[in-house]
Amino acid sequence: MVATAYPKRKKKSIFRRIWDNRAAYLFITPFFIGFLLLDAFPLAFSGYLSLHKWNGLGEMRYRGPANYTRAFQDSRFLVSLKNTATLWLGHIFLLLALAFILAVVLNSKLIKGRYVYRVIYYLPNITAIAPMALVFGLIFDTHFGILNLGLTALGITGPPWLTEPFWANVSIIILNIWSALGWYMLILLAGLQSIDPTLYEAAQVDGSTTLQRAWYITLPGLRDVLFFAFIIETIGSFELFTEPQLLTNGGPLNSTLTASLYLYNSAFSYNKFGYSSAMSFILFAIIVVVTIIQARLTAEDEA
Amino acid sequence: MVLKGMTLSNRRVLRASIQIVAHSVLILGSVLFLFPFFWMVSASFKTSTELLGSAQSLLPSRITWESYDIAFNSTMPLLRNLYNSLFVSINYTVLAVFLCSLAGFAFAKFNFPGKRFLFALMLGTIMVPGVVNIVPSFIVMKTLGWVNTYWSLIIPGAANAFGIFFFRQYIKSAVPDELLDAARMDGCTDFGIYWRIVVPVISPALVTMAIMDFMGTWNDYQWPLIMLRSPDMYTVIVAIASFPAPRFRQPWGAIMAGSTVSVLPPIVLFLLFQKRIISGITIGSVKGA
Repeated sequence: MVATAYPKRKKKSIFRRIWDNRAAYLFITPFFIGFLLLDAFPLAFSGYLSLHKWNGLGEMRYRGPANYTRAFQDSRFLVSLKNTATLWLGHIFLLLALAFILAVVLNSKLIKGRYVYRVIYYLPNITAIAPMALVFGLIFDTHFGILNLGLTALGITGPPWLTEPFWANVSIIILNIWSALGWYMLILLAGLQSIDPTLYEAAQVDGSTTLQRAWYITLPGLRDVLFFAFIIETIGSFELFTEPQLLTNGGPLNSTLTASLYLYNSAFSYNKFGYSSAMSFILFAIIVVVTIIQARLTAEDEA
Repeated sequence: MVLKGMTLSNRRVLRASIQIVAHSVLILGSVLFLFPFFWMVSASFKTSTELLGSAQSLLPSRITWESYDIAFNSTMPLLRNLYNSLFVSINYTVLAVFLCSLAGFAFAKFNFPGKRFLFALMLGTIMVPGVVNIVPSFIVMKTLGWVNTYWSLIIPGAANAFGIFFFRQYIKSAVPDELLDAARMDGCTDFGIYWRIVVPVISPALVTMAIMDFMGTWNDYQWPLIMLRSPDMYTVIVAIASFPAPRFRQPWGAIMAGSTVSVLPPIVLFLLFQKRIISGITIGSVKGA
C-alpha cells in the first residue's frame, strides 16, 4: 500500500500489512537476491574457504587456522599491508586538505568562472583510471617521460619515478590525487552550500575575521562531510589495485605491492583461493577496526 | 574584518589582487590536471621514434595514424572490445536504473513491516569493501557459469545500494503522496503507479543515474579483468591494459591511441551532462551523510 494520510481506524495485523505491501517486497527483492548471492554468501563462504586449502578446482582440504598463521609469517603479505598503510597515510590528509581548499575557493562568489574550474578538476574522476595509469606511466618514465625531460630542460635532474621505491610511491599518490581530488571537491562543495548562510551574516555583524569564520563555522559545518570523505577514502585506499598494478606492477622490490594487488595475484595468478580468503578476512578486520577508531575519534571530538 | 577601514578604491585593488592570485593558481592547477589528457592525445599521433626520443615536442611534428592502425589491427580486437563495452554498459545501465528506482520507490513510499531493518541492512552493504568478496564472488560466478560472459558484468550489482538510496531520496521529495493516492483511487496497481506516475516525475533523476551507471560500467577495470578470460570478450578498458607488451618494449603509441579511444565516450557524456552529473553526486553524499 502506498503510504497515505488515511486516518488509522484499526490496527491491522502484521500478516495483513505484509500482504498489503507484497508489491513493495517484490520491488526490493532483486537487491536482496544480490545481497544474499554476492554479499552474505560470499562473506560466509570466504570464512569457510579461509580454513581450507583450495586451488579453485580440486578437492578442498581442511587446514584449520593454518592460512592465518601463514599470512602473518608471509613477508610479502606483511609488506603489502605496510605499503597499503603507507600509501593511505601518504595521501589522505593531503588529498582532503587540497579538496577542502579547492572547494572553499570554488565556492567563493569572488572567483569568476568557478563553474569551469569545477568541471576541469572533476574531469579526471570520470575517466577510466586504467588507461590513465598507463598514460601516467609514459609521462613518468625516467628516460623518455615528458616529466623528466621537462625537468632536465629546467636544469633539474628528475628522480627515477617508477624504478625507485620512494618515488614509485610518490607517483602512485600523484595519480591517486589527480583522479580523486575532483570528487572530494564536489562533496565538500555540496557540504559548504548546505551550511546556513545566516550563520556567516550573524558572525560578520559580530565583527569576526574571515579566519575565525572559517574555523568556527565552516569547519564544524563540514565535519560530517569530512568524516564521510575520510571513511570512503580509507576504504578506497585498502582497495588500491589499478594504480599499483598498471603504473608500477607492485614494484620496484614490492615497494608498491598493495594488499589488494597481492590478494588478486595469489588468487587469480596462483589459484590460492583458501589463502587469499584468509588474507581478505584479515584485511576486512583491519578495515573494520580502523573505521571504528575513526568513528570513536569523531564521537569524542563532538562530546 | 580587513575591508572595513579601507577606502573604496583600496577595496577594489584588494579584490583585484585576490582575483589575480587565485586565478593564477587555479589556471596552473587546471593546466596540470588537463596535461595527461593532452599528452595522451598528442602521443597517440606521434611516430614511435618520436614518442621515445630524448627531445620531445609538445605536439607531433606531423600527424600520423600509425598508432591507431596498430591499436585497431594488430594488438587486440579493439572494435569488438568497444562493442563489448557498449553492450555491457547499456544493458547494465537500463537494468540498474529500473531495479534501483523500483526499490527506491518501495523504500520511499511504502510502509511495510521490516522496512527500517532492511533499509539499514542495504546501506550497510556500501561499507563492505569489495576486496573481501572478490574471491568468493568469482566462485559464485563460476558456479553459475557466468565467467567470461556478458552476464557477469550486467547482473551483479545492478540492484545496488547506492542507486536505491539515490532514488529513494529523490522520490521521497519529488513525488507527492496525493498523486499516488489519486492513482490508487483510480484502481492503478502498484507497478502501474510506478510506471505511469513515478517514472515520468523522476525522469531527470533517471537520466542522471543512467549516465553515472554508464560511465561507471564503461570505466570499470578490476571486476571485468577477473571475469573475462578471452580477448574477444574483453571490454575496451581491459583490452588496453592487456596490450601485448614485449619485455621492456611497451607499444606506447598503440596504448595511447587505445586509451584515447577508450576514455572518449565518458568524457563526451560528462561534458554534455555536467550539471546533472555534478548535482547527482552531491545528492547521494550530503543528504546521506
